[in-house]
Amino acid sequence: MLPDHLLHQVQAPARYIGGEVNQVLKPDDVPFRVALCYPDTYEVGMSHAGLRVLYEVVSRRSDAACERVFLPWTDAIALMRAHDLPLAGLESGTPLAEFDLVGITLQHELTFTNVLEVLDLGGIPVRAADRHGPHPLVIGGGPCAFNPEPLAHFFDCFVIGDGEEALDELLDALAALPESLRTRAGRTDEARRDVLERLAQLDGVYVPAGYDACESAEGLLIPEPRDDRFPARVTRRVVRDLNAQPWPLAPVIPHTEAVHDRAEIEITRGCTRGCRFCQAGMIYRPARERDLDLLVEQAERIIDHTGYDELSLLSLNCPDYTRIGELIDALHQRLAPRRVSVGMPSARVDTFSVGLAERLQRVRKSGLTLAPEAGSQRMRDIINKDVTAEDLLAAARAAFRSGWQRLKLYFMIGLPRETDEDVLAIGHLIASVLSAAREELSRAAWGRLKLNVSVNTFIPKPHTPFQWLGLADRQTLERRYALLRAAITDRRVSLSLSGIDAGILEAALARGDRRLGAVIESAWRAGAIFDGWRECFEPGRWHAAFAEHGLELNACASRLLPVEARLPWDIIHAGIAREFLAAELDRARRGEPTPDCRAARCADCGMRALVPDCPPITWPRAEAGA
Amino acid sequence: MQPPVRHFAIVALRKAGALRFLSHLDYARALDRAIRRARLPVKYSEGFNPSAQISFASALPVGVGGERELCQIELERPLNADEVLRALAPQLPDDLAVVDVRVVSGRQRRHLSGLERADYEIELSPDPDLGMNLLEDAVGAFLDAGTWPVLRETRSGTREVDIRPGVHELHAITPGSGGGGPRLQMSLALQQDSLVKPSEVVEALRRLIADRTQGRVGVDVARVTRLGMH
Ligand code: SF4
Repeated sequence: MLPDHLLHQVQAPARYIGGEVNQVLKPDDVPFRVALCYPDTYEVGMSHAGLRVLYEVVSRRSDAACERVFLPWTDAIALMRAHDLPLAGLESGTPLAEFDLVGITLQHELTFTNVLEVLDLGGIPVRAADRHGPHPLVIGGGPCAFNPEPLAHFFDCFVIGDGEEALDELLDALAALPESLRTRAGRTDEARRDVLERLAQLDGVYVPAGYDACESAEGLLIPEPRDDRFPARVTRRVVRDLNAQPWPLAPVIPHTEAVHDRAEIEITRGCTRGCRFCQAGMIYRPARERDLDLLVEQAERIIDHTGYDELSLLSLNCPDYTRIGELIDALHQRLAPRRVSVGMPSARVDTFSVGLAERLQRVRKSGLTLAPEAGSQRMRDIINKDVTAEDLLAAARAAFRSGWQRLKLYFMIGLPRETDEDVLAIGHLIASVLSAAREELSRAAWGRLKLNVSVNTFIPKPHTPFQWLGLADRQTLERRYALLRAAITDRRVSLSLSGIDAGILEAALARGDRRLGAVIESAWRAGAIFDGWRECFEPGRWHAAFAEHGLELNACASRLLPVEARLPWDIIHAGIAREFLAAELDRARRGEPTPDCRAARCADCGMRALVPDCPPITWPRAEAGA
Repeated sequence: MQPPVRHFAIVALRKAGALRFLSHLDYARALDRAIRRARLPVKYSEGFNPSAQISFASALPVGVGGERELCQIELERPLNADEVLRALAPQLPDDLAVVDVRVVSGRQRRHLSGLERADYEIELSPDPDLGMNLLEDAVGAFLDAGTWPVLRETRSGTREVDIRPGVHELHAITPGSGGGGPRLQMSLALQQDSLVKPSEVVEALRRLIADRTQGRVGVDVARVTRLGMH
């Protein structure tokens, strides 16, 4: 991608050279070339497990080659543009425009301008309507595809939900096409449209060009199918059995230190705790698990093939794995002699989870993360976070007693119905954690105590009970962040607050309609890129881009939508019924809990339409013979 | 009390091709993982954060290749050189290949600290204005100079250092028949107190050539390779 003399001129040139251990190179004549792109830096993209799984899905096919593509950093982009060098796959250096498929994972709204940069730098017209027959098909997936409308102009299609089976089926469908449609070279524009129409017949595939955006009574653009070749709603793909899904046992090992540079196994997918703010908890239902023996086997194979000294368990909520204690002990038993440490990124706020973490970090107590999410009980009832102050204090005490001197706590502000008192309650909670620490810790340990308190702005997301609510307005957020800063002064606490401007943009893009395509394009043409990086993000460009199209950024972010309104993302059927989301919003208003359906009875969220025998896991699970 | 007997593998690796662009840290990590995949019985340090006992003769700058980069790996038990080679070689990519392995057992802890010099080859980009006469003239002038002060950025500020005593050999070599520009070979001091970087010698020649041509002729480096250390 970059010749030697340019590699000498960029930061971290190893990002651009490819040739990593375990990369899969295929012969030049495989029928399909698939580029999989994470539209951010190499270090971020190489950390993403989902992309690794899809790399495995494509690479193991005999008819397809898969290559990785990331967005070069700004220094390299400038050189590539100056020397007319296209963005290319890391495996073979093939320019992006010469792939059959370009799959882009959409993990975060603040990568949207990066998507346009990737396409343009790769020599692909950014608008799907400007692409011709031979151009690659540009496919989006990931959580942001659950509201595909803001990016509808830039993608030929989206695959909604679990990608393993869907991507395989999509490649099968392409392989079955007649020659004139299948081969990129010489394909006509009409043939390209024909291909997309056929892909629209596949489950979980949304082809935005088949839908006109029509203005609703509330002034929102709602996609309507042009004719009956395009489904009225696109239903999310759900893999029923995780055990049957591939998992990369020899993942590509990044050259430079990735954000997460370690072996990973996915122990569960989905979570039904039902936190009302959490999009992942709604769009990845139901909770599914991999079998313990399979996981232990996978962990060992990955260590064999990579030489990593760290294994991380992937899950929205690790302690909820039904046999978590046994799993941890089995992994520890097999991997400790090989000097591999096992880590669990998320700990539930209770003593059970702290006990698990203790079993994992027997000697090296690096740090423990707890996420009470809100400061007051009233607020936690509203968001359905099943944690009390007593739970947090008991968990913290247990952690201090086991020797932890560093605790990380996660909170959100700007939550629905929040008052200044609720925000001040975060300060009270931290004060009581500190006094618990004072009681539990020795003098020396107290002196070393560090509480890292991380506070994020709550962003209302599609397909959640709070999808109709707006972001708290700027003045409120500013005031509440200031209150928090003033309330927390202990030098043992280091406070990290998320940026208000980035939150406003994220909120506006998350619930946007098709109008936002033009806004995103304008912002990108004005230079917006790497919006998720503080050193690159310039809110001014975005305000100007919204204004250019007659919109106001703050208003878009804070817009309240009527519960009866048709929503731009209704085109996607995520599995959760709208009635359930509306009922959850009502229960939130009343501060009523909705218990986890694994432990209690089915809450009728609607998932049974997709998974008839939901929930696949109940709790506590009767272990055969145990 | 006598120190215990320790077992080491001294491995020479070739860092070439695109993998020249690995930083020293990336290179060290790649080697560590290859050793773990090879399941070599490496000795680990004591304490809370045990780390594999691997150390390097000298870090290469990003972008510089090496024909014989040396590292020492402490082993739990003695192995013969062939066992180490056979385990490790298949775990390394072509551009990070094992050149040879030597094993030593004894009471000594450090086997790479006595290296005094590093030999480099620098290939320059072809340039019709940069003839061999001009290059040789500049090399001669540099060698004839009694001192050659350069400024170095250190943590405590800028410091003046004389690099001339640390340049043991310096030759210009005519371009080979396979294309490419003229080459420079040099042998430079490696020890902390007298260390000279190849880029500093190139910079000296660049200035001498600029002086001789009123700034008309520049020196553009195509590739730097460390040939070995001794
Ligand atoms: S359908 Fe019932 S059991 Fe299944 S996820 Fe929804 S609430 Fe839980």
